[in-house]
Amino acid sequence: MRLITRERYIGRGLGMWAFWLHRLTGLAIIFYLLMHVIVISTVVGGDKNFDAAMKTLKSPIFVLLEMGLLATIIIHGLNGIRIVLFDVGIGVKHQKEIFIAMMALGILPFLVGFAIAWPHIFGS
Amino acid sequence: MTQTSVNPTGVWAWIWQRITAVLLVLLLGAHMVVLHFVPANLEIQFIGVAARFKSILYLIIDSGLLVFGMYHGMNGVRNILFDFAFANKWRGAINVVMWIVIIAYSVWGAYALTFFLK
Repeated sequence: MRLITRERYIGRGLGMWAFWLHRLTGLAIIFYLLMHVIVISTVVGGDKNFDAAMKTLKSPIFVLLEMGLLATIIIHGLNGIRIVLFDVGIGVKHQKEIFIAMMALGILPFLVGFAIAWPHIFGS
Repeated sequence: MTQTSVNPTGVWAWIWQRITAVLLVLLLGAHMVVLHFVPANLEIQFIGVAARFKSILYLIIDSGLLVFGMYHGMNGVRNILFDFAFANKWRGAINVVMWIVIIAYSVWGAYALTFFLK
């Protein structure tokens, strides 16, 4: 497939990885959102229907997948803040350092989420 | 904003992508903390969600998340598609499909949320 703005994709360095990561995590999140709306809307079929769906999602495999979702959202959100900062003229010169700082900032909330999820994945 | 010169979706799509981005960071952050980081809320069942929805704020926030998220996500997909040459002759169709998906999901999702008000 031919790209219109080839130079936007075929670059090099950390900034390029950040760009790719943003697009890939974005695609993953919209895919999740489309499923999320469908799952939550099971409530239209009644309370019991909704509770059954939630019970299915409590199984370890889904909680483990949610950890992937958590990491994906943290990466996309923090890098998104980085992009918005650039748009208002802040930090473009230090884009690499800011990317590293943002990802470092994301480690703590991920670990907190993982700690909460741990007993639901591996048993308490 | 040199990017808009090569961006076929226009300056308003670009601005709205940023506005929804900031709103999503704030609202989605709150959404995830309330639902998954507050111990009392970890067990998600209809009865608990319905109790939260007694406060109309939840309906407003969740509907906002739905609409902002759908726009931000689908516009993002469009941005990616428009980077490829094959999308040139499909731009009109891609725009139509994008808006149909955004509106259909927003209406259906908001309709579903009202079931928690009972």
